[in-house]
Amino acid sequence: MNSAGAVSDGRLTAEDFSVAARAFADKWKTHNQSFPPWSWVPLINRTLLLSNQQAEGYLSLEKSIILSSLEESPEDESLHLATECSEKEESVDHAILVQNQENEAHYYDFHLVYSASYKVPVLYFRGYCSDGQPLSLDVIKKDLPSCSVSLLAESKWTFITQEEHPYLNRPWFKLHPCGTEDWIKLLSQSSISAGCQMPVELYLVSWFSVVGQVVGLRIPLEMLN
Amino acid sequence: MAEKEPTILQFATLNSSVQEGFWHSFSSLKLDKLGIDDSPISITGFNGPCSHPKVSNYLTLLSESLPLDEESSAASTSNRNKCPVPGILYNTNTLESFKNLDKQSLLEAEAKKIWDDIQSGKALEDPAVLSRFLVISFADLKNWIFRYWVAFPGLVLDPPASLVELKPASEYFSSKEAESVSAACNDWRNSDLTTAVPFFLVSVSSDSRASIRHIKDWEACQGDHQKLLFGFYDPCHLPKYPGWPLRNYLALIRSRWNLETVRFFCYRESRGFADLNRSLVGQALVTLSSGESAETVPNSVGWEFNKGKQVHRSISLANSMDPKRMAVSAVDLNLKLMTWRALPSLNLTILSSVKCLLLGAGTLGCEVARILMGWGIRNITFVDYGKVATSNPVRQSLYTYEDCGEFKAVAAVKRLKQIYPAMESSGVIMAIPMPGHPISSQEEDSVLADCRRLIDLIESHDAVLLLTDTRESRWLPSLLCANANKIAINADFGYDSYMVMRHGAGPTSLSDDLQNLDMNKTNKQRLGCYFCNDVVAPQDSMTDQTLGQQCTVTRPGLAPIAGALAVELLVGVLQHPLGINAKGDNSSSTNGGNNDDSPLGILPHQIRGSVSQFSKITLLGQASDSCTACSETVISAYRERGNRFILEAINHPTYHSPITKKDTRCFPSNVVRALPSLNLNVLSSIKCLLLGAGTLGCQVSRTLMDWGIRNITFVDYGKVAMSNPVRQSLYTFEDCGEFKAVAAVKSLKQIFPAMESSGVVMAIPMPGHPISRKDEDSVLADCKRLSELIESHDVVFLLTDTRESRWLPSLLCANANKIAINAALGFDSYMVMRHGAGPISLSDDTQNLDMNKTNKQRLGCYFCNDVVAPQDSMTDRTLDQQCTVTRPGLAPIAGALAVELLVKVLQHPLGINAKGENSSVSNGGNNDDSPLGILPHQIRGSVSQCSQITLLGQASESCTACSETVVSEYREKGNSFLLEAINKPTYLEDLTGLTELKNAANSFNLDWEEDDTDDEDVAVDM
Repeated sequence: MNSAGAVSDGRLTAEDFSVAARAFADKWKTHNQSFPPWSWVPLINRTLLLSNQQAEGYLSLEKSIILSSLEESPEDESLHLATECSEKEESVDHAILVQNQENEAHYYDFHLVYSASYKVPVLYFRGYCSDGQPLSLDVIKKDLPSCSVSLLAESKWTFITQEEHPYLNRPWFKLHPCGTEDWIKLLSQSSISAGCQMPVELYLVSWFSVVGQVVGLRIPLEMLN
Repeated sequence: MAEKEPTILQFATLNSSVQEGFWHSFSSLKLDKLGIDDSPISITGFNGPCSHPKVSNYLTLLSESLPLDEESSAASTSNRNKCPVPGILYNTNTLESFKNLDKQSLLEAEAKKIWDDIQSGKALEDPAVLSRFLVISFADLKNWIFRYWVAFPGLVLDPPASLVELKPASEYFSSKEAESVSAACNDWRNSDLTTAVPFFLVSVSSDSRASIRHIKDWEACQGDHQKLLFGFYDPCHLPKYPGWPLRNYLALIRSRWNLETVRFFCYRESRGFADLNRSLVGQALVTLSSGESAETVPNSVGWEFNKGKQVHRSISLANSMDPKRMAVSAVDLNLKLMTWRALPSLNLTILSSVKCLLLGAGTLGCEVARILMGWGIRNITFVDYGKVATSNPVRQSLYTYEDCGEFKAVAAVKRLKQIYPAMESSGVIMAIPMPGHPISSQEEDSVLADCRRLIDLIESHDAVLLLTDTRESRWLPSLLCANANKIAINADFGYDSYMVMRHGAGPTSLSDDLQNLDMNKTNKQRLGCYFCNDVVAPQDSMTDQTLGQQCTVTRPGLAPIAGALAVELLVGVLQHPLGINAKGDNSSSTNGGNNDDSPLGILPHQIRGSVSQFSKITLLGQASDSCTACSETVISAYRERGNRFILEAINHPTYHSPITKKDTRCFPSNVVRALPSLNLNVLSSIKCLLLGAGTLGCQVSRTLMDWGIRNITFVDYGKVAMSNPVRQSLYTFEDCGEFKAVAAVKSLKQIFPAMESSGVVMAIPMPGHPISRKDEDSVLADCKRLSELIESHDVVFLLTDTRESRWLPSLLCANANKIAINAALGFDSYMVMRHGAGPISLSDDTQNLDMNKTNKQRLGCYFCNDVVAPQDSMTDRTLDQQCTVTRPGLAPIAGALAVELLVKVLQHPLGINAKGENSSVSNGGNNDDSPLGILPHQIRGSVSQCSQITLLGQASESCTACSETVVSEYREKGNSFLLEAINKPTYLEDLTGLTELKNAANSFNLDWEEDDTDDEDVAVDM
């Protein structure tokens, strides 16, 4: 009984995660409309999955756009390779308006994935240009607000690593989860001392209020209520 | 504004965004299924209305754009921002054919499909076909470069349509209409049935009520509406131009309904809702050309522009697809984790750039190479003359049975690459010239050539590890290192003792550089080499003598321990600010406090230890002036006379005597003592169950194999991750993605085909981790399986990476009275223990009384420590933690000790009931009980302090795993007890009356960590 309702030891079960994730997505939608919504991506057809088939999945917010000034257009070898191929043109068509982006947009995808070994949520993310070219961590750091960068440099629990996304099997960046349990414990203890237990529904909100800052995503205070 | 020449209606081009995931999936499709088949593939692009004021929406290709496997095709759910668009992919097999594709006719072919769909009416039923697209590509899967070009075929109207007016929809509609249009659009977008239909009709009746209709309903909409607009999802963000889809839409409208004036509605969104300020309404004039008919397809345009030019695009995904690069980043990550978590001052660059020369690729050489890899050292050269013999693979951890007959220097290099493809390793097949082994004059040239080669090798490397099996073969390298002032690390072992040391700096006073005076000072205190010990009058001949030995009969656990310590010593020297000149520290005495010098703990000169006594001491020996290898006399003689000096040394056994004034001591007495009482049958028939196949599991199984144990079962739930092979000695790069339990078994068989090994992929149920009703059955089945596994084996090794996962096995072992050996690692400390017998007084057999007596003193289990009031909280507490960052040298040491412990228990007459002995104190003398030396209960050690102690802890009455209360509860209630323990975190504490004690224990912080496994991602490495 007690585990379903409140967070005591800083960890979550997989089921609690899916409960907390939906609660988080709902709150986000109502309080954070300037961002795209989070959506739950259920997992289908994981043939080798042994036990709980029911609620496995992850939370996803994709294509969050950050406009960057054009100065550092990613120097890609593509252009050099490419010139060789330009040949005779199609018939000139005056009805074409060639769109040149005056802004180079960087796209970010964020996934909140449950880590069965740490029993905590983990933030995975990646950034890419419109042509699909992945952004390197250095470029990503330039996109982040300065407070996030200093947070990354100072806090030993918020380092970014690159690893294979557990469901997509492609390398994504992730915020290493090995300190999560400890600081969530601290958070939940402070709320216990304030006379209330942290309900599971608030787990992801509290968690993301810390983790989101690292990648420049802030959550409005109302969400914590 | 009077009548003006109408402007040509221009359509803003659509752009493509081909995501990494598309190319990943395409690569697998190509490799696994398509092969060289280059017929076109149907794909699906995704598009939606523009939803950002400054950025247009793209036609996106994702991994799900490719045809799915049959079974998962049902999965696609409609997503409002991912409206599917049909497309076709022409992938070529060569760059040539990519360039030679006739793009114009491919484009025309697609345009014809669009035209046909317009004529047939299909486009009315499924309007998305109007946006049909085309991709040509060449996937260079060797270099992970993808060249591609997307086309969005647009039918050219002749003459072109002209624009009458274009304004924001909010200006065109009255505010009442606008409100209604917004609401209607939002309904359309929010309905699963219509959200992905990108072309529609907006009809606004005279009472300002708007509705959205399918375009096929055009006829039905005639007449009764004041306004009828052709709406479409507009990906373009520009406030003055409509987007590309309008183009074919107009072609459809003109061709189907012969309209000359078309009012269109460019639908755009903000934050998921219709935004009529950004949506546009325009009026276009379409002139019908005379010669048009359904048969003649209009001209088409549409190849995508790349930064304003008509060229193809290309993307390089080597960083995310090249498995070698990914392995490199995974392994680097692991090392960084070590610096982040525990050793902020560790300099990884020094380690990754250092070049190591390993003289000898035998048991020690293999072990050392593996641990070097674990530390991130990438450049290793082996020198060895021998070939892999059939008896080698079980001991020498780089070889498998297949390698037998191959030169070790070759096989070792091959193996390192298999483990970690980024290794830069090479092998030199060469015998090291030895003094006192006379050669004929014909051989002189080749021996001198060998010397030359060795000199070059030493010059070109930064550190030399002396790991050969004879004492003489270490002489020339020692001399050369002293001459070149290279770091030299020496490891050697006897039957049950080992010695690891670093050589001091060379007698550099000989060099005539400016620092002469300075150096001379340092020299006075320079550390001795392997041969200095021979002449410094030894105070204790047993501990000080070198361990030269030719016959390599040693206890299996020694090499991993000595190898690990040798590497730790090397890393310590490399990280020390004084490098080779660093003073020798001692673990215990006065200068034990100066840890600040090196981030890694103390840096001793020599470490000697014994497995039989579980002792380990650090020693310090200064260089001797009359050393035969590193003394000034010898070095200056070598510098003066070069080859002649070496030849003389080789040919005249006593050559150094006159120089060094002292005879080299006779070869140390053979340390290999026979063990007549060792019972090998016990060992070969024993069945071992290894819970966890991570770093410790790999190490333990190797050492078990070396002791002759043939029956090993692995239980593990995890898969081999990219970062695993460098640390987990049973896996290679190829195994990545395989279940560890499966890969480990395969690997054991490769090493020794006669192994009887099996693997079980299973998670171990853990207490305090609540499960749902549905899972109960499967968890209980796992419990049953584990219980059966334990019943059917003689010994259980607990090597998992969490504390909780050790609970159920501990309980089951106590219940079944099985030998349980526990090993756990912290960042730089380890703990190895054996569990005592179970509380068998519960069983009603006849030996009750006898056993009861023994029980009074039975040894504790892993969980007993939690409750026995710890006398020293630092050394006595259990090692908890999940993030698995450990020093690379720990696992070999802990694994070797765990197996030593087992072997001793098995050989002990009392077996599991054997008392716990301590290495130092009173009962240290009773070696007689076991042929192998003392049998402690627990061994704890620290690599940073080079210390190791034995401990004794009795079983606790209120232990949560092995106490009578718990075991009898388990026997009585079985499954319901297990479920209770799993679901209720405090159940066990309540049961044993432990709750308060536990609270006290919790207040100790958790900076100890559990085994390892460095798998960040796969993780549940159990």
